[in-house]
Amino acid sequence: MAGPIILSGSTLAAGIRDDFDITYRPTFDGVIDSLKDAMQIDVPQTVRTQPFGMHETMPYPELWNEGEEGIPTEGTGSKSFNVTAYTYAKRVQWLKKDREDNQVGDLRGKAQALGQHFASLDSRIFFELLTNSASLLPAIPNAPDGAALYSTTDGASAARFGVSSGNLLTGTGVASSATIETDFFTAIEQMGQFQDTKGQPYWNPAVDQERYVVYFGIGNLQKFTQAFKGVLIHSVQATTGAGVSNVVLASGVQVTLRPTSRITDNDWFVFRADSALKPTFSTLRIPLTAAEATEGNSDAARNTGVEYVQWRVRKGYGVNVPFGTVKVNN
Amino acid sequence: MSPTSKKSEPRDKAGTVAPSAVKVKSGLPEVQAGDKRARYYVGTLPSCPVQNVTVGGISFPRFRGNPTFDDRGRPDRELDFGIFIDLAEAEVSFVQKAVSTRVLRLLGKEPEPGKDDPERTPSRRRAAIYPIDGKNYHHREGDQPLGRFLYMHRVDAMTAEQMQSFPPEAMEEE
Repeated sequence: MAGPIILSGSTLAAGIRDDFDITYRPTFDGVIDSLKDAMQIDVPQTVRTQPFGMHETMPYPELWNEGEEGIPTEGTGSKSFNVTAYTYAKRVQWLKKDREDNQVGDLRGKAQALGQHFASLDSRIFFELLTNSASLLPAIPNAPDGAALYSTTDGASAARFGVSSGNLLTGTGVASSATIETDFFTAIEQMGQFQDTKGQPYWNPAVDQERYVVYFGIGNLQKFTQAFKGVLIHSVQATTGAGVSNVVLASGVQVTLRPTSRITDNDWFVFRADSALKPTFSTLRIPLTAAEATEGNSDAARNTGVEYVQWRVRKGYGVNVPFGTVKVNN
Repeated sequence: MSPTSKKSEPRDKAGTVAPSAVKVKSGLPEVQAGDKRARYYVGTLPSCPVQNVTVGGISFPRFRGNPTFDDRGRPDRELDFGIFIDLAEAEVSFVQKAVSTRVLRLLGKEPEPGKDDPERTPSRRRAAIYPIDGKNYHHREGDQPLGRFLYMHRVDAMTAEQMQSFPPEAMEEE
């Protein structure tokens, strides 16, 4: 049978102990939970390329001088976009004799950990959508308005969401917690000015606007922690030498920090956590399934002595109209 | 009730439709009311491993619109490359300066020959963009100027031939 196998040579010696066998096992607990404020997970998909449609904002009432002919009448537009489901799969195989002689845990059970790694798929692709580096998707999808997830203009070159710089903000750097704090408020002020397709504020002030999630590169963890969690931000007033209080904490705005090594530069991303609308989503066409080949069920395994387990899922990924996020570009 | 076709235009009697852009603090240089803006054609070249780049406060996308792609990266329709954006001179200078201080670093392994069609689909090669003055940046051999992968052309200075041909010239000067 072709293809690489699990090389078990280091685990066959008699008397070998497996106390450190967890070393190379990353954990995926909470991965999906950490995405839920920014990505709608597993929207049902029923065909290979699924069309989705939406109406634009319905009209608002106008003053009508009753008795005059012609009640104010207005239409509205609509948008549609497609999402293609792709197949994500992996097989691991091993020699049957290695499984029999293996001294470090159960080799077959170990191989099943591959299935757990599928839990990373949504997370890895979410960050590909943020960083525009497509390795798990053939291309990074645009939003339904025809522009990329973060853009100053929509696909028709109009100011996106009726704001001069769309959902992109040129930041003032991450060298200090003070600049991060300033940029954070600029970002949520910018988001708060987004307009619907009828020119009205998109965000209803009755909606709780107090919870945000910030994704940033873990290389900037210290400054972000100071900016969002420190009682005093790391600067002093030149005249008095007094510490400057942290406006984020004082304001009561709740910010969840999500540092990640998947963001390698100084750009960072603000998401409204309370919004029902998530800027990104995954679809589920066919759930995760496993297939196993052993001597009991596989000619190939009987012929070669190579057993395997493989996993497969079919999912799609897309970008919704990204009212709920702003990128701070440094 | 008026018809609601895909393209139906709402009437503008109350002046509430056709949203006019609200000016926000963007980090871009201040543009005075009298400053003229010109239309620019911007985007990422097919050779750019990062499909959409945001730098200097604007987005350089690979394409606009909503095509879908099959497993091999083939789009279901002709791609409309890049995007048009109106910029004042001060904003153009700001973007150019920002691009000149960024480098692109290729990550991971080379793609298999023939797997991607560089003329039509984004490369699957992973990459990261670094500001050269960033605290996390240390120069490595192979880092390339970001301007090598982006284009930005003033539309009224483009010839008809340039408008028709793709890809356009990169921002990086030879």
